[in-house]
Amino acid sequence: MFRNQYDNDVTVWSPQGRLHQVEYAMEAVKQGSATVGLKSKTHAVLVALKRAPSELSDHQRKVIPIDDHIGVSIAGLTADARLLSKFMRTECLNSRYAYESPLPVSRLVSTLGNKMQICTQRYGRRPYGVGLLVAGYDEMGPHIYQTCPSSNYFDCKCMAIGARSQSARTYLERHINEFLDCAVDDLVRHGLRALRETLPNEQELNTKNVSVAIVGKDTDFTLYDDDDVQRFLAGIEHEKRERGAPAAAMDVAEGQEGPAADAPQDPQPGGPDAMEH
Amino acid sequence: MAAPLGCGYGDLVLASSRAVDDEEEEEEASQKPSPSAVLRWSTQAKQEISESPNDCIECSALIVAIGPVATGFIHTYLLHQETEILGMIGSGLSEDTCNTFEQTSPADATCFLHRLKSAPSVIVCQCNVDIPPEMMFSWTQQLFSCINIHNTYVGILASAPVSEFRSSVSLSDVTVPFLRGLKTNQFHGKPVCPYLEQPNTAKGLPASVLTHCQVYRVPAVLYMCYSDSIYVEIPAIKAFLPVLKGTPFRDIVQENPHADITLRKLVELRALQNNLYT
Repeated sequence: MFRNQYDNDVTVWSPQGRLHQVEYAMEAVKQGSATVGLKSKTHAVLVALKRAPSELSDHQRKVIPIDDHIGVSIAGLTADARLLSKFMRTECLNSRYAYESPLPVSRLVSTLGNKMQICTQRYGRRPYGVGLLVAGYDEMGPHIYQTCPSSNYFDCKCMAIGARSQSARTYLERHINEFLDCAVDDLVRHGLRALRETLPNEQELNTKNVSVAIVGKDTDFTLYDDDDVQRFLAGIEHEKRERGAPAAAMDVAEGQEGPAADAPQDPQPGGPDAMEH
Repeated sequence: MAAPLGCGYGDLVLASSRAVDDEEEEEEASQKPSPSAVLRWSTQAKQEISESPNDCIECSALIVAIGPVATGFIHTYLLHQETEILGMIGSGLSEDTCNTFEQTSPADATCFLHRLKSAPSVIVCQCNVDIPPEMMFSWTQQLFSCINIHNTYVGILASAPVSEFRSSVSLSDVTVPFLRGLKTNQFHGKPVCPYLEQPNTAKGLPASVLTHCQVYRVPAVLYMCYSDSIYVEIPAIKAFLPVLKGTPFRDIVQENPHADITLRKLVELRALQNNLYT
């Protein structure tokens, strides 16, 4: 993905039929820290990795309650997430006022998708640069939805978004059959293990960098931060990670051939072949 | 207010605007000085230069780290040893950059020249400033102005976003972050990573320094780290680790037993300044 003459405007198609601005907006989600959502038969859970907190200010919220039965975790532009959260809260409030019942999760996500789509089709606007994991519980049971800057949304069994989230998705794919019948605390621990896969070996999950949220049958959307997270972390702190050490970036001693040595080589800059040092 | 317009590749054309009286604009343009870098030496370095026979500081190895990832790497794995600040390169009296020796936080926008006390002929330039294109040449000239580079190996570290890396292989099949290298004619041997493949080019300040070394026949090697995050992250910093086994690093590096702690603090310090994304 690199610059071209069709990427200045969201209303301009490329000859290949692509909207580059929408694709670039999806890259913004990867700049946010990872977050994982998963559900069992009775509960939906969100776990999120927070960026380093400042001693001078309150930390940036990663999980945002929307209503008693819905909450979201965000990855991407903070300000866009704040705006969409406000919209979702308004929709939920309006539903309670008008119909005296909680807004079904699928309907909320659908309305949100319609709102996000406008920005991908109007001159002078830009796509929302944030991805959401929506966790909710309604008459149809627990739900996990993923939304994208493209305004697409997906009903998921489990999902991870944000930086290095592929490692978390790999963990989720391996254990997906275990989630449906999990107890709540075990479900949270699965989410934490998946989240841990996104961290480099030098970092660990702790009470300062993790948020947990649970919603489900007889359980309003509840957010756990700081010391409240300890009981979930205690269950996994002595476990090893599933993946090996991250692949070393070109760990080659000088004088030895690198991995690309057998591939066609570019001419060495400017001169005769270099001698071995 | 004049607004720059892109006009063809690499051209920058200032367009006049009817919103501003042109006469005022011409006066401002004539008064605005052309940007140039200024190198200020510490008192001790000035004395050393004045006492040296060729008005230069002796240097067997010059390490130039450009950008937060490269400077974070050097800060962790090289500057944990005892060092002294020799000088700084700034923009004179402009308010854009630091112009004092007192701001030494690794996250500040500074450009200091350090010298290792254990190896006084090794000079390390930590550049955390965004040097504008029109200042790159003078910055490079200033850097090499009082350093005797006749027997010097130069190592340049920099980083770039992987979105700028062009490859026939899909980037989803490549482990990010990764290293690519370039070197001058005079640098005998190979970089510890693959060469930077065509049509990719090194740009900006790293290219300016490497070009200077090529023109003046100085053995130099450039290592570019391509990463996918706008933040300073530990995997991106550690991507530079293989260079410690190559010239000119391998003879000057000492193991840092607290490297992991230093890295974590550095990443947290940088993360605090970036709250655009959550």
